[in-house]
Amino acid sequence: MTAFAVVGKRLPLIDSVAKVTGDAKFTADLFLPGMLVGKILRSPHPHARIVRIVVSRALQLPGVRAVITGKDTAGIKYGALDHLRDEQPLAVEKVRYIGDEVAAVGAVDEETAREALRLIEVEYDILPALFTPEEAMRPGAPRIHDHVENNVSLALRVPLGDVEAGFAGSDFVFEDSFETQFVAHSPLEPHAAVATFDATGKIVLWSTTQGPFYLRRDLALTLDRSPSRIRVIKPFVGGGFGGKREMLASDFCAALLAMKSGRPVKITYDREEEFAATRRRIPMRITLKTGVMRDGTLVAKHCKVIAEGGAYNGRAPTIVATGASQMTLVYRFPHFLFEGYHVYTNNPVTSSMRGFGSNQLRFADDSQMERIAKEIGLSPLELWLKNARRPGETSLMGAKVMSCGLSECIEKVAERIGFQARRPGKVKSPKTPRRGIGLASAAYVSGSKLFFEHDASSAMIKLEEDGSVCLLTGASDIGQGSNTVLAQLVAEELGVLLEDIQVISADTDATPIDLGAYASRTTFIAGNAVLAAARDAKEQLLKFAAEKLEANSADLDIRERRVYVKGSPDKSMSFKEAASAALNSPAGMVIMGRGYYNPPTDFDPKARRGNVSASYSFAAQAAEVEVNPETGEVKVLNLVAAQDCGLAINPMATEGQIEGSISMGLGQALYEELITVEGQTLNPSFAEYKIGSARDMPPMECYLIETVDPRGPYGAKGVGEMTLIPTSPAIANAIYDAIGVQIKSLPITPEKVLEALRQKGSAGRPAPRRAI
Amino acid sequence: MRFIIVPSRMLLPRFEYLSPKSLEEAASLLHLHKGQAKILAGGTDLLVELKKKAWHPGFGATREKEAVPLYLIGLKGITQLTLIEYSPGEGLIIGSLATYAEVADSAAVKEKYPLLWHACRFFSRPQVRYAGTLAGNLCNASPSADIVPVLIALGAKARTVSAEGEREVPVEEFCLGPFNTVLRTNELVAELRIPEAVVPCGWSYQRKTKRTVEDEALVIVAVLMEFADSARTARQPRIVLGSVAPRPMMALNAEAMIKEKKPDEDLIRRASEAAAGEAHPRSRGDYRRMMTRQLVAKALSEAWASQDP
Amino acid sequence: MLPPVSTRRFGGGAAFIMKKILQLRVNGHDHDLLVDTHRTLVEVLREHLGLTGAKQGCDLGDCGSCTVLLDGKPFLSCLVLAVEAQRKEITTIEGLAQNGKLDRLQESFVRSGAVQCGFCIPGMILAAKAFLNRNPHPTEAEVREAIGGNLCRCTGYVKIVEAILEAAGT
Repeated sequence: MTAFAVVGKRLPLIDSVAKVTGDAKFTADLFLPGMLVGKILRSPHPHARIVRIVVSRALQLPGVRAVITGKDTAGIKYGALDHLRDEQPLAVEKVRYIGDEVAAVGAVDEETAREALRLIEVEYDILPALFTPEEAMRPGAPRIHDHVENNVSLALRVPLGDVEAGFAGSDFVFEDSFETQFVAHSPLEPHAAVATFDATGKIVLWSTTQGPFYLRRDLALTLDRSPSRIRVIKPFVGGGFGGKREMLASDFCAALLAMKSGRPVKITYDREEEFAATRRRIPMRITLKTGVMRDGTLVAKHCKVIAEGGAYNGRAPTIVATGASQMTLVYRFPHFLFEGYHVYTNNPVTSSMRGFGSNQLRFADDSQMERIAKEIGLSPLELWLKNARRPGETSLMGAKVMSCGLSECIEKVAERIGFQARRPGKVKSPKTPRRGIGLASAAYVSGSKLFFEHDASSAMIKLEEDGSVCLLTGASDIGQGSNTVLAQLVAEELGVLLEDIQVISADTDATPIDLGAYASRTTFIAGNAVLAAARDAKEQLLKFAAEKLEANSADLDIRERRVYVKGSPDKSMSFKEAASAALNSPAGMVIMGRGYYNPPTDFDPKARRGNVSASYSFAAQAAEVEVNPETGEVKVLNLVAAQDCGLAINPMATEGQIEGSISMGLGQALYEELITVEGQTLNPSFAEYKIGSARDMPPMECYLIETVDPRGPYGAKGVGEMTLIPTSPAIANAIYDAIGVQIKSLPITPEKVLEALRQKGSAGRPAPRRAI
Repeated sequence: MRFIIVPSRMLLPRFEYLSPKSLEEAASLLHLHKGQAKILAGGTDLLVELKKKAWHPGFGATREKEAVPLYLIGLKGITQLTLIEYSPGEGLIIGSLATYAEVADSAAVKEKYPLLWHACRFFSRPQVRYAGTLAGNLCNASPSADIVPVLIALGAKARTVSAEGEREVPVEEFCLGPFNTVLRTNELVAELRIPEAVVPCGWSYQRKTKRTVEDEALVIVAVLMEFADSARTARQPRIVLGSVAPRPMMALNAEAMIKEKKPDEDLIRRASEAAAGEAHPRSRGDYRRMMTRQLVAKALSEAWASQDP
Repeated sequence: MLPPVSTRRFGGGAAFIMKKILQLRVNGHDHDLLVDTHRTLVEVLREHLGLTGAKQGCDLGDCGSCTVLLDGKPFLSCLVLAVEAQRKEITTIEGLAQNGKLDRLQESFVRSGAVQCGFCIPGMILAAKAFLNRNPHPTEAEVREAIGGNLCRCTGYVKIVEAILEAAGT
């Protein structure tokens, strides 16, 4: 392998100095002259028809500059895919959850805006509300959306192979049901939007977004305006985790209020709105049936998912739809049937969150794998390794796996946690704390062609006359460090230093298109686009320098800021000299590199088969826990993560992704849950919805298993989401190992542990059914 | 449809800020604006409460607007209230502005009142320890108040003042129920008085949170016992529970069981079961009672084993 | 009966003097400001003084993103009335670097990769700053306790703890 100068190095994020000094401006930090405060009136009812809205009193209040309701909008629905559009940025006829947006005001200050909301009179005709998928799917249940029968907005059946024959041919068949919860993304930065509108009719929107181009598309659609009349800029974003992927009412209302008032408008969500009225992770009820041979070879899986979507689709139907590909990627088996239902309820809206649907399904799958191993008397490690995906294979769904370090990841974490030596756990007295260890694995896409006509990204590179390089990319750095990783790629390719690179990113007018930070696509897809742009710029520069150095441009290369002739390093000029000479030549040669990357995928959305991503990443984690059988408390003693992310462009940043994921996964496993009763979120604050503090974190070990993907930029693959997926099943399996009974619903609270122990004490386990 | 009041937009309601320079002035302002004024000490409870009460229609008109005070009387200008003073033979005085951090920094508290020192040292989070006051913790009267069980165990009294005079209220009688105290509308707490420390003694402070480390208390147990002899016979044992009843409470039955008794494992078990039986938590009842039993047992063992100060 | 908010706001009468002239000393500079008395310090820092380093992550004292130093001690500026921050030396993240040179903690946060999205970082660094001033050679457990009031969703705190220990030189 070539020795890299910038790639593969542990380098601080290029914007970290701005972040430690307070210079970094986030959306809520923007103050514009004459700016109004925007506030949103939300529905207090989970399901109601809007009879009328009277805004005249609010408009008369001194200091109020604009009031908008659904009637002021074009009434156009938006959503993930054309056929899934079901949401209006302000409710027009009906409200469908507590927190649904009904009206918005722009006023000179917060108090006036608040008072104005109070003066808006809304008359509701309350409708029967549905709070569970079972209620909602019942024949004759009221419709939450008129066009959707039985409230099932997506019903999907993906048969691959012959699952019944598979079960018939299996030595054992296992069937379990699992449940997951509402989880809040909880970025520290709440959603915010600042909009301006000028006399030429141009809207500029600064927003806490993970993808300004997607946001512009939805804004243009719902405002019924041409996209070129809208500029969306992503300032510093304080974490997203999937929750800032979609347009929210804050974006739309800020823009429309600015249009109405002619003044800049800022809307910031408070923490209650953030918890109760933005998106959340989609809970799933998963029934999983698996056929397996005596030696542990997997034969067939039947997975049925009922997912509680909440009031609108958001991105959630596509989450359900990716279930089939996620279930078939990690392990190898010939027969599969996936049935997925996305069901509306009158709870708040669920949508994408780090890991998409993988977290829920991997929890079910790896929990059941653990049970299979225990009950047929195999080591879980053996079972995992026997069935683990290998490089060069194509999954049942059609995923073509080029590089894969899954087995190495599993072996690594098993070795570090002491898996071989420690199993099986010995139960001492019923009162002593019991220790257990558990494994889990994951696989993930690097970009996914499920959401758009393409999955492309593009980039431009300008050379400046002082030898610095300006990268223009549409990619969205939301804290994960993508600007740094992309800059590292450019610096490596152009043979300059990281500090020579300036990144302008995620501005729909200034940068070329990128679809945004989701599907772990940025390093892989934007990275390839950026690399192409760098190569293009390099070619132009070398062509120019070749004349100066009287050499063939093919014989030139750049290293440490010098353009030199390969083999005769004394024949050289500095990068700056070359760039400056080009720009100041009589021809006025501007060096601008262009790059574009659209991954070679062949997914057929109708057949629901094919390759959705050009590359796949793999991971495994192992947890060691201590369970107190008297109190039900679980303490995670150690967490080991191994990650096949191709080549890590910045290992320090990659580790940061893993460590952050573990903290999130820990919460998801043990204590995080948005408690929602009759549509009302009961714990919408950090005092009641706890995310872990520094003292809650277990010791963590991270290992990077580098596989170098042939298609990745310098061999890199996606990393941001997969790291979260194995944490909760690894912890769940460790708890199972410790107490000998499996808890199949998240989060695993002390009460659930005690209840499981009580049930275990009172009844023996039924033996697995022998199929043959 | 039933709606639960949840925290709301985080902006304070308007009020006039008054800054008296003496306790007398504070009492007379409170008297003048009776019912319309609130005392502001550290602010870590009151300002949160006011922000939550500030009416916000974000989630609809069914949420009623709550009464908020028109005046806040900030005590910060009354420097004598930051006092932490120990006098041998008399005990400890903690002014109503003394913060957890200041109490934890006091050498006298550390030496004479290790239970109090420990509870203040590990109270909440650093930012809250620097701002919050012990008197504020008492006046807020949260069922899960962290320090109140300790104050009860120590036999603390609150000295209150008003334009009409002064009185002393034992801390165990101070809270009436959740966020409700014996304080009259014209009355404020000037200081906490803690009697001379008992020596030799054993103590323990146990606290379990609801979910994470930095979280509201699920169960608090404060134990203080004076040893009558070298065999550690428990004279005047105090077992105080927090977060398991509408107000911090003494586990009187359990106390009676161990009074004048020497350490004994079976006794600890029975006493902890008695304490759990006395608890009457509102939510997660079974779990809290079980945890009460666990923590009382742990606290008694620890107190009986603790070294003389 | 208390008058409703609207009358207090929009016709409150002369009896209510809601604004006060405040003198705040922030990062070594004195400011005279006319401020509503119900304003918290974080609001005044951000809206009146343009010091947006203190962040509003929850505004209820739960997240620690608004932490600033008053006389060197960490406070939640969302739970401090601006009027009560008078006569204190207020330090925000903007005042930590001296003469263009980053503080040791700022440097170690950058070097250790402790910064991801950066939203919690100003509060985190200030909490750590106050802590190291009191306890220059802490253990890891003490560091974790000291930043227990500062939530971070990105990092799992691993590199943040490393950075603080590195700055302490322990």
